[in-house]
Amino acid sequence: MLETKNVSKSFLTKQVLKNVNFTLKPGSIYALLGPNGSGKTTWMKLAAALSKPSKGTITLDDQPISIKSREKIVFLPTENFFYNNMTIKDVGLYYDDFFADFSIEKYHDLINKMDLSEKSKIKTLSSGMLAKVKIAAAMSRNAPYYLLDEPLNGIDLIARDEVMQTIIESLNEDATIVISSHLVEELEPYVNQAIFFKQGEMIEQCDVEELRDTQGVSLADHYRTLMKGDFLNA
Amino acid sequence: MKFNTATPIYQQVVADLKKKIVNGTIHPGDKLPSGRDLAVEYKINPNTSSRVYALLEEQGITYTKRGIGTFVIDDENIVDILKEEMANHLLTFFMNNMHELGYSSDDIIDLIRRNEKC
Amino acid sequence: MLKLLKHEFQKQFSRLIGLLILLVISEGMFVIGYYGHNDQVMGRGLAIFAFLTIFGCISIGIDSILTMINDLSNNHNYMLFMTPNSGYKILGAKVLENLISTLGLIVICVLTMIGDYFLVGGKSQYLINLHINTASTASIVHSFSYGLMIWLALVALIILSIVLSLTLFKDAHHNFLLSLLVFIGLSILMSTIYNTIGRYIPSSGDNIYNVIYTIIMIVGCYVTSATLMDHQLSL
Repeated sequence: MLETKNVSKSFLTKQVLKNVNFTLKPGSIYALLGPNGSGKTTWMKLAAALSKPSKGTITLDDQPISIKSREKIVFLPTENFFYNNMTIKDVGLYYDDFFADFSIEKYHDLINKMDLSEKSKIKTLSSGMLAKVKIAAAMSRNAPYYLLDEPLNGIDLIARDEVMQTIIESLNEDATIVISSHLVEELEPYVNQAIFFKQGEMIEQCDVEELRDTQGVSLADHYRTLMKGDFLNA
Repeated sequence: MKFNTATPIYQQVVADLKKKIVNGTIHPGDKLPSGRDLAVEYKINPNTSSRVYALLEEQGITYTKRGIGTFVIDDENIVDILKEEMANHLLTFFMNNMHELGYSSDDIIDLIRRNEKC
Repeated sequence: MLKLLKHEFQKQFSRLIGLLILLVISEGMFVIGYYGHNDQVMGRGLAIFAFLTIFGCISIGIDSILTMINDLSNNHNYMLFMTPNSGYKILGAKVLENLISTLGLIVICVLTMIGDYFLVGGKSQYLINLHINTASTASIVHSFSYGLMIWLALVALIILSIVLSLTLFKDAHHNFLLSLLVFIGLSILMSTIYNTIGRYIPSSGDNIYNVIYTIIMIVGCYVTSATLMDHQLSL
């Protein structure tokens, strides 16, 4: 269980997270939704032990998040972070060296399935190909938690489909995945839980099928209801 | 499969599976895909698969053998039962809408006959 | 930590190999010149070798620092920080790589030069000029250790500056300028402390004071950086 308890985070002058509380349970895929700057990425970095909360704690199975937690958490930032001179193969070898739960065979498999060549250098890849390499590396690890920050950002439809396909196919039954994305409609069928962030606060957490069952609205429409500003309401 | 995201997806997958049983794509007694394979096939969440199978089992259309998988019940009658159930569903929907337009049941029958001739 | 070290070396690989090849070529020139009784080729080979030693070490050292800065202060830092390695290991691997590369290079060069000396057996005109006696050896070793210490201190300060920017100053956008300002600030601070304490040291104890101060500073920077990275990281 990944519990976020009364977490607030400030950077010098700005407060980015305000008293955020929620729990993630195993075996679900969560959509982390909200406008830019609402605190989604910051929360992910706190959960991934890349940053510390200013107030409150995040606990992983009742232990506060620490460097050791990184063994159980896969974090995929939005940006390209691989070293420039690496080839796709080198990325696999790197992950293999540092993560005990990484399967190099699975990595080969996923790379092949997505029509990529291991000899390609990272710096020559298009954004779509890079997104695929990143997801292949992430899903080749067998961890209880996956935090994917905008994995579908800035890539074409086919690549997006392949990324989602890879996630669903590689999924371990008990794993928890959190995907943050602006593409609510594309994400909808794949997620069963949604968490909404707005201006640093977690404003709602819901079961997506229940939302459809009880209120007869899609996740996208619910997002619109929660997030619409005055401009569109007028 | 294109989903209507304003209604529960698991219900739509159940409907699709029933359709497959009726049109013979799936036979009584067949083993259905595992929860995860179903999720991959329909491009849905694995939890949704669980709900799909839970509903099918609740309605007596499938049963689960622990450790082996989910199977359609081995009864040929199920095809006819489902066929009738789905037909009634469509009919109710159709009739309600036609009544809303002002057609009586007799009007509807005439309309159908006229359409048939063309 | 070995894995971290391995990857640090991989980053420097092409530069190290390039330098080694050039060294082999110049040393080759020296040996060929000797056996071919060609003083010119021999001399040139030796001169190039000596030049490469100095230039090579400085360049490897600087490259190492640049890689360090690159690794810690932009998106690439995710590579290190997503792994379950403590700050001690991460920084330790970097410092070790820097030391082994720079030192290793110097040692190889010096040993080669000593080998050259014995090969020629003091017969060549050029090498007579390079005659090394005990006193100079001692002073060479002394300057060398001193230089090494200063180098380590520099590296330690640079690392601390970057880490401070990433942690206490919560520089979420990794501004190079901020690290630079911190570095300047730290250097001034260190010099001030050095001078302040230095006033109470008798001039006879100068050398020991230098050494002790530098060592404490290096260790202090390293421990502070590692601890900050582990507890105050704010990516």
